[in-house]
Amino acid sequence: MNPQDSMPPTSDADRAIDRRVRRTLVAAGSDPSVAVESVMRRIDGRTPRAVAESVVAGRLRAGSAVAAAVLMGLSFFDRDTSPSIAEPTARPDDVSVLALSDPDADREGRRTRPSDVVLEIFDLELEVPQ
Amino acid sequence: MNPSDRSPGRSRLRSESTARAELGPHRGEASADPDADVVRAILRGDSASYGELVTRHQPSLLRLLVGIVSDPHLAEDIAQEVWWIAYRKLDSFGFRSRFRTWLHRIAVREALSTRTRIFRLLSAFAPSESLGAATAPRESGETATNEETLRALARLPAPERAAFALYLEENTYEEIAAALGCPSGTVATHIHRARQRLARAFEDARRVTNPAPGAVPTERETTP
Repeated sequence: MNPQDSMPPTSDADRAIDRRVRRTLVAAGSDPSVAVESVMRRIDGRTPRAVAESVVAGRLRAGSAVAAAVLMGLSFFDRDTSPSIAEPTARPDDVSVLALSDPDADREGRRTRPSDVVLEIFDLELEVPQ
Repeated sequence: MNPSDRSPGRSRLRSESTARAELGPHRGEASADPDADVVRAILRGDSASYGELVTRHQPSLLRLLVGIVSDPHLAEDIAQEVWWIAYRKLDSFGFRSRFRTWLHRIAVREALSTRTRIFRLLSAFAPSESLGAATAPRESGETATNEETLRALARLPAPERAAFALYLEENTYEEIAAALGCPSGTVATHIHRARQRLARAFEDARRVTNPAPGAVPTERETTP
């Protein structure tokens, strides 16, 4: 089936609106290679769980964890400011860094202790349309 | 890592998709889908091929998501999540639709739920402000037009916005209906109303930017 087989014909005015919106959406696009790299990094096993475990093991500072999580495509509401206000990830696969609660450690450059990091473990089956 | 490795207990059961991937194309199903072979390769364990799907569909996915959430940065975040969900759930894909259609369905669900969650968060701080509709400094030319367009999209009711964004990404009415869980006739209505609202919004913006000589601004035009 052609993509828009069932679409009714549109008027010139409709097409003008479609063109305008399409132009705007195209302009908002970015280089897909960046997305490929992020997605593949995540698939290769550098998952939120690995990041969280690294933080707990003291191998990563909190700020680094946020940066790594953002690189892997997790959604923090405020990724540009203090990691202490990082919000839960949108849909974690199994571990969500709920709060990196020691901004002092980050500021002072010392490693975040496991007790500084609040983790919540999810094991959710997501509902995905069939 | 194979997608089916991600779900607890799934290894006990060989999924329908995995079985199909091993058997090859089926008449009337994935043979019509240009992505079917890549999906089969991934299901057979070639996870590196997933990058090919991301390369093919990221631009369309991002346009769709920007159309729904009206925020390019948020759209990129959601796109990452959509790709991750799709990878984890690939063995439930089933080859019953095009991969692209299935991906768009996941995207719509993810975008609408994320938008709703953030809207609630914003509402707690600024009840009158909606996501993507915040006042932005006026800029000239194409940037201003794009900003206006995004603000107009943000003001559409969610089903109209999602239907229109899916339509612009060349999904059929049937595919849009399946994604939104409504009849095809409703999809047509959503798209029609979305265009009407957008036309009014664009006209309002044009009148504010270029008022007719001697025209007295209406209350609506002067309201910040």
